[in-house]
Amino acid sequence: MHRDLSIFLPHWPAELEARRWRRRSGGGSTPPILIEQQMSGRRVVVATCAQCLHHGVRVGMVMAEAKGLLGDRALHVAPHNVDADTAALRSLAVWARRFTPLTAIDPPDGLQLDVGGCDHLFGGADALVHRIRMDLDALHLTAVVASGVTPTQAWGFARYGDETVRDTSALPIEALRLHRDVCESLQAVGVETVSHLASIPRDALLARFGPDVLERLDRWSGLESDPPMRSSSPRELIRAEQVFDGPIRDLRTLQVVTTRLVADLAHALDRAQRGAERVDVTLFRHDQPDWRWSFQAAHPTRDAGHLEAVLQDRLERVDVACGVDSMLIEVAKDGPLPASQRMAWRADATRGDTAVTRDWGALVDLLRERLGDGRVIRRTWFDTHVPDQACCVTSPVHVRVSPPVQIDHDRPTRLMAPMQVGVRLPDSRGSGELRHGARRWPLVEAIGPERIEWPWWSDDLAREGDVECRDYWRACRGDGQWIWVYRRGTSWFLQGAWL
Amino acid sequence: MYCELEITTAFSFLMAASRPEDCVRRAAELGYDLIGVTDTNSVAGLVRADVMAREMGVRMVCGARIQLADARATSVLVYPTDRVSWGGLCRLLTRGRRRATKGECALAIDDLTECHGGLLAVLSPQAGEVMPDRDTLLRLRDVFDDDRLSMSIQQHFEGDDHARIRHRADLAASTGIPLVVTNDVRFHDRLHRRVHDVMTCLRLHCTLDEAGTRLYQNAERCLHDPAEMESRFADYPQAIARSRSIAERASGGFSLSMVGYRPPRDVCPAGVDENDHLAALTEAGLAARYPGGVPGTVASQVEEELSLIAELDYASYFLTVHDIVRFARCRGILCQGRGSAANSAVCWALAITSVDPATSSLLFERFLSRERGEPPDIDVDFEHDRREEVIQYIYERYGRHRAALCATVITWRWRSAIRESGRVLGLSLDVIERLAKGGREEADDDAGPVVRLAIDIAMTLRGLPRHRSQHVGGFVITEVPLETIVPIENAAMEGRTVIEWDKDDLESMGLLKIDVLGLGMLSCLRRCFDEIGGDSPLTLASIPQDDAAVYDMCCRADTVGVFQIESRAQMAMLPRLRPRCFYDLVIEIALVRPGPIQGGMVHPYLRRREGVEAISYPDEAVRGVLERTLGVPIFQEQAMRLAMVAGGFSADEAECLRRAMGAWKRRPDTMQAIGKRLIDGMRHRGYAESFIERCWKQIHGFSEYGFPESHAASFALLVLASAWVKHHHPAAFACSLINSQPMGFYAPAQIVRDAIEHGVEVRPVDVNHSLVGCSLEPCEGSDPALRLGLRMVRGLPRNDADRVCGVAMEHGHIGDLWTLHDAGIGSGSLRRLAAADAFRSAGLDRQSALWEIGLIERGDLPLFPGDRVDERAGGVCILPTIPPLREVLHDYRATGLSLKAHPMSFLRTQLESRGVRTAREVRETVPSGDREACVMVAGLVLVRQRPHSAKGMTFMTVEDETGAANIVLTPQVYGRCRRAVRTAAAVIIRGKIERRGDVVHLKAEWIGGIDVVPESDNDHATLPAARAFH
Repeated sequence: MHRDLSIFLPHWPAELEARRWRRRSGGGSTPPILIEQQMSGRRVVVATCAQCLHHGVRVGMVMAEAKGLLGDRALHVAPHNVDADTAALRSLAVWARRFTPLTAIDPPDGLQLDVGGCDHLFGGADALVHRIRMDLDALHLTAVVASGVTPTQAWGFARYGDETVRDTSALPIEALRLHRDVCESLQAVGVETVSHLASIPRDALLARFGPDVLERLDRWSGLESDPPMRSSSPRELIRAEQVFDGPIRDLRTLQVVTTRLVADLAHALDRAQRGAERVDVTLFRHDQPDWRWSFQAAHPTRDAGHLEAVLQDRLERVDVACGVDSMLIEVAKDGPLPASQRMAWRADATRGDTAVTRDWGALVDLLRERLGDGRVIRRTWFDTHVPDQACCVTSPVHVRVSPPVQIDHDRPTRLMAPMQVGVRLPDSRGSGELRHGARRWPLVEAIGPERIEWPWWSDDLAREGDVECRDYWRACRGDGQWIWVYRRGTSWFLQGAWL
Repeated sequence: MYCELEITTAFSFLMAASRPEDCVRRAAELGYDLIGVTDTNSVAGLVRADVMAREMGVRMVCGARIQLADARATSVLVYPTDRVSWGGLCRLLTRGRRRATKGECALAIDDLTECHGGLLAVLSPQAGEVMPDRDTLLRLRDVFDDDRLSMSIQQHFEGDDHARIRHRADLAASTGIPLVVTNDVRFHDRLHRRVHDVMTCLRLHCTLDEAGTRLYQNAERCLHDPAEMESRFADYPQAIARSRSIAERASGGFSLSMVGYRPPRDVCPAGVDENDHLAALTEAGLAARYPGGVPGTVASQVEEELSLIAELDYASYFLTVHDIVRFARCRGILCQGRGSAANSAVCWALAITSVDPATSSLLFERFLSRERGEPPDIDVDFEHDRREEVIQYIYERYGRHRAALCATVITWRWRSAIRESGRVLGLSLDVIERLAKGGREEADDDAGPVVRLAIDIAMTLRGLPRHRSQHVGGFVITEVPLETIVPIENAAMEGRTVIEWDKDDLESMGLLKIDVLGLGMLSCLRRCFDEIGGDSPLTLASIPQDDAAVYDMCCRADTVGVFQIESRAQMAMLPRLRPRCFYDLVIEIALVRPGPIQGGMVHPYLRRREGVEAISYPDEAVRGVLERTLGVPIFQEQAMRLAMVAGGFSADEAECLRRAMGAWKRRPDTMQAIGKRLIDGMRHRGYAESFIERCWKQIHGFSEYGFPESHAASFALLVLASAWVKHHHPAAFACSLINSQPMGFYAPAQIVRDAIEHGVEVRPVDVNHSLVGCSLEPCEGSDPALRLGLRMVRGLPRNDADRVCGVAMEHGHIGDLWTLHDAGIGSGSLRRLAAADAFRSAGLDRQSALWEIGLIERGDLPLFPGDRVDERAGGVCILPTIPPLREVLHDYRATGLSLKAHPMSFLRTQLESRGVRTAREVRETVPSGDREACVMVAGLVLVRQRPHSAKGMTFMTVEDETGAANIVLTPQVYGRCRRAVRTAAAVIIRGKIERRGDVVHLKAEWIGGIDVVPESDNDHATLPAARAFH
C-alpha cells in the first residue's frame, strides 16, 4: 500500500545552530537561540528555539522586541544561513535512508519519506513514526512525524494535525499548502477547514481561484497523484579508474591511459558544474606498495589540459618497473564552478577576470609542481600606513586576484626587522653619521621626516594608551646607498634599504 | 607672528572633528591672537566661533573654504574684507547650494571669478585635490588684483613635505602669487585625531581597519603653537608674515557684528512710521477686544510695551507677525500664539495671542527686556493641515530671497554616538545594542579595551554636530535680501529653503525669527466649527468661559479627545483638582508636567486646594507672587518672580536663572552658582531656612520642564474650546477628531466608543452613505448621527476613496460590486471595502461581497455584462456561517473598530465563570478594608507605557465592553509576566483596587494573555496593536 511520511522540524535552523554551539563549547545545555535576518533595515527573528517560543518570541518579530521578552537571559544570536540549512537538511535526508531508500528534502524545514512497502520492516507505520521520532530526539532535533496516504496529507498532518486525529477534513485549509493569498481569501469568507472547502462546488472554486486549488484538493484525497519524488542521494564520487589485464610497465601506455582518465574526470566535473580542488591519484603496483599522490589545485578547475600537464609531469618520476595493475584518479574535494560556454575559437579579448584567475591558477600549479610546495609564494599588499604591515607573504593557493594597492610614498625595496643604530642627521653642510656597534658610515643627505602613527584602535595597543609614533627619514650614505631609518623617542632604528 | 588661517570645524560635517568653540579656546590657550575659521562651503560654525572668540579675547577672521569642482578639484579659502564682500560670499555659497541637493554645493572657478569683490583668497588644495594649472593661476591672479591672492604651503610630516613646498615656492616665484603658511587644522588637539578618524570612516562607510591609507597618517593637522609653526617655516619668513597681513586685512575690514539685520519694512504703508502704524493697529485691536472700554492696567501696559518696542526698534517684527496672522485669519485658518508672546498685551491687541492681559498676570520681561538685548520670539500655532498655506504665503509675500526657514543642528546623542563609533571600531551589533540601550554606566569595568575605546569616542562625539536639518517652523524674514546675510540652501523637502544658522546662531546675531508651527487640535476645532455651523459661526473667542456643565464634565475626567487633558496622568488629576473656572484649567495643564511633579508641587497644591493644609506666606511680597496658585509655584514665571522678590534678583538675573534651569542637566555648575546666589539672597532677606530649602527644591524641579503661565494659558483656551464642543456637540467633535487623525492619545476606536457613550448614533462605513472623511447625518433626535468615512478602511488609497464617493454621487445608489469595478476601482480596493463590510446597503454582507470579488479578481471575466454569473441565490448558502466573534474581529482588522459588539463581550460568560469582573464593576467597587481582596478584570490592551520618571513602573490601559480600566504594574510583576504584558492583544489581570477620590487603579499582581482568536490566525494583525512602550 502507498504510504508517505512527512517529517516537520519546527525549530530546524535554531537547533542546527544549537548543535554548532555545543560543538564549539564542548556540550552543555544551550542558551536560548535566535536566528536573525536583516529585513529592510530591521533585524528580524526568522527562527527560534522552543525556549524562546515559550517566552513568547515569534518568527517575524523585531529583534529588540524578542530580546525584551527574554529579559536578561544569556542569549545566542546567529545570522540566518539558508544555504547551510538546506545543505544540512540534505544530509539529514541521507541519514533517513536507514528507514527507506526514497527520501527527499522538503525545504525549508522538512523531509519527505516514501515508506510504502518497507514500513512493515519496522512493525507498521505507527511503529516507524515512533522510531523516527526517537532517533531524531537522540539527535536533539524536535520533530513532528506524520504519515498519510498521500504526501500532501502527510505534510498537512505533520504541520497542522494532531497525531491522534485521523479525520482529514477537520484540518485547516493551510494544510493543503495553498498559496497564502488564496488561504486568506478563503478564510475571509469563513472557509476554515478542508471539509468546508471540499463542500464548495468545484466550478465556483474554479471561477475564483483557478485550477490550483482543485488540484491541491485532489492531491490531498489521492484523486490526482503527486509529482514523482526526487529522491536525494549522496553525491556520487567523481572518479575514473582503469584496471589493466596485466601489469603495465610502459610509461607511454600509462600516459595514454592518464589522458583518457583525466578527460573522463573533466567530463564528469563538467556535468556536475564542479571544479576539482584536490585530486588523488593511486597506482596499484604489482608486488610493490601502492603509489599515492595528492594534488591541490590553486583554484577549482576542470581543465583537462591543466590537470593532465600537472599529472604527466609527476608521473614521469614514478617507478613503474614492476608494473601497474590498475590506476585510479578521484576528486577528493571539489568546489562550485559554473558551467561556461565552450568556444569553437578562443577569443582571448573577451575573457574576464575569472578566466585570468583560472590561468594564473594553472601557472601556479605547474610552478609548484616543478619547484616543490612552499617554493611558490604570493606577496599581498595591505592598505595601511604601517610599513611593517603593508605587505605579507601568503600561500598562492585559493587567492583571488585583488586590485593592486596604491602606495603613495616612497618605500624601500627591502624592509627588515628594525635594528637599533646611532644616527646623526646630516647638517646643512651634508655631514652626518650612521653608527652600528663600532662601525660608522657618513650620511650625506636625509629627506623627511615622514611621521607615521600606529593605529590607535588595535587591540593590544589600546590597552597601553600611547600609540607608537615614528619619524622616518630616507638617508643617503657616503657610498650612495639609500637607507631608511626612523626615530622613536630618542632612539634611532634602521629598517630598510633601496637596492 | 603667525596666524592660523585654515581651521575647519565640525560644521563641515564629517570633514573635521572639533567644535568651533573648542578650536577657539585651544587657539587662545596656545597664544594666538588672530585666527581664521574656514568651513567647507559653509559659514555655519562662524557665529559660535565668534561668540567664543569674544569671550576669550581673540580676534577672528571669518572665512570659508570654497570647493571648486572643475575638471580637477581644488579649493580656495576666501575671507571677506567688508560688509559687501560678506554679502558676496553668502551669495556665492547660496548659488552653489541652491544648485545642488541638500548638503551639497556645486561651484566652479567661473562662479568665484564673478563674485570675488573684496574677498581675499588663499589657494589651498586639500588632500586629494590639486593646485590649478599655470593658466588658471595667472587668470586668478588677475581677477584677485590688489594683492588679494595667495598660495598656501603646509607641512604635515608626510615624507615629501620639503619637495612639495619647494615646488610650490617655484610656482609662486614664476606666477608672482605670494606664499602663505597654513596648517589645514581639522581637530583642535592631537588626541582629537581619533574622533576625526572615526568621522572619516563614517563618511567613507567603512571600518577603521578598512579605511587604511584613507586616514591621515599622523596627527599633525591639529593646532600647533605659533612659535612651533614659525620654527618649522624658518626658511619662509615672508610666508609667515603673509598670514598675519591677510588676517589683519580681513579682520580689520569685517566682523560678524557688521552683518546687522532689519525686519521687512514693507509691512507698513509707505510714508508711515512703523511705530505709529503699530500703535494705530494696537489701538484698533484694543478697541475691538474691549468694546466696553479698555481697562486701565491693560492700557498702561500697552503704552509701556509700545515705548520699549519703539526703543528697541522691533515694530516691523510685530507688524510682520501681524501680517502673517492676518493672512491666516482671512483665509479662515485658525491660529493662536503660544509661549512667551502671550505675556505681551500688544500681541493680544494684534490678535496674535488669545490670553486676556486683564485677567492674568503677565511678565513682559519674560518676552522682551531692554537689558537682555535679546530678540523677542513669537511662536504661532496654525492648523496642522493648513500650515503649508501659511508657509507658502510667506514665501510668496516676501520672496525666497528674503524669507527662509532656520536650521536645526542635529548633534550626536549617546545612542547614535555609540552605535556609530562601535560600528567603525568593528564591535558586533549585539555589543553595540547593549551599550546603546544601557548607557555608558552599563559598561562593566572589565569591558574589553576596544569597547572602552568605543565608549570614549562616543562620549567625545556626543554633542558634536552630525548634520543640519530644517527647523520645525522658524522663519527668518528680512528687509535686505537674506542671501547677503547668510547662505541659503535647499532642504530635503521639496519647495523649502533653509539658512545655515540655527536658532542659537540667530539669537547671537540678533536676527528675529517667527515660529510658524502646526497644531492638530486647531485643525480639529476648525472642523468642529464648520460642522456646527449655525447663524453666527463659532470662533475661539466666542466660546463661553463659564459653562458649568463643561467643567462638570472635566471634573468627571470625561475628557477623551479634549486637548491636553485627555492623557492618563491628566485624567487622573482632574477629579482631584476639580477645575471650576478657566484659571483652574491653566493650572491643571501646568501642574501635570515633569517639572512640578519632580519639584513636589502637586500634593501641596492639592492639599491646599482641598483646604487640608493651611496657606501661609512668609511676607506680602511673596504672597503677591504665589497667591493665585495657593502659595505653590507652578509656573516658570513664578519661579522667576520668586527669585526677584525673595532672592533680590534683577529681571535679567531671573532670565539667567530660567536659562540655567533649562540647561541644568548639561551644565550643572551654572545652576549651582545661581542657586547659591539665590539662597544667599533669600537668607540675606531673612527668610526661614525651611522656606528657602523648599523654594530651591521647587525651582530646581522646573529644570525638568515646566510650563510658563502664558503658554499654559494659551493652551488652556484650546482645552476649554475642545471641552465645550465635546460637551455640546459630541457628534461633531468625534467626527472632527477622527478626521484630524493622527493626533492625540486615542485611536478612532476609543473616540467612537466615547461618542456612543455620549449618546451619539454611530453608523458604519458604507459605500452609498460614507464620504471620504467622517460626516454628520441627520437623525430623528435633535443630535445628528456620525457616519464613519471611507478613510477608516485600512489600506484604501485616498484616490480610490474619492472615486467611490464620486460613483455614489453619480449613480445615486451603488447596487453591486460591478458598478465600482466598471468605474475603474481595482480589486484590491474592492476587497478592502468588502472586508470593512461597506456593501451592506448594496445588499451584500461581508461574506457575499468578498466571495463575489473572487470572481472579479480572477480576471477572466465574461465579455458582456449579461454574461455575469449571478451566483448570489445559490452561491452563498454553500459558505459556512461566520460566528459573530469572527465578524467583530474582521471589523477590527479592516477598520480598527467594530460597531457590532466588543470582542470581550463574547468571552463574558467564560470570564464570569472564572470570576472576572467588568471594568465598570471595578470602577464602582469600593475596596473593603480587607487588604487581601483581589479582583480580576480582562480586556483589550489599549496603551502600554513605561515612563522614565516612574521608576520602572508600567502603566496599561485595558478596555472591555463596559469601559476602560487602568492597570499599574510593579517591576516585579512586569518581570514575571513579561510575555503577556509585552505581546498579548488581550489580557486578564488579577490585582488590588486602589482608589483615591474618583481615580481607580488596579495594582496588578498577575497578568496573563488571552487568545481571543486561535494562534494560527496570525492574530497580531487582527486586533489593533496597542501603543507600544515609549
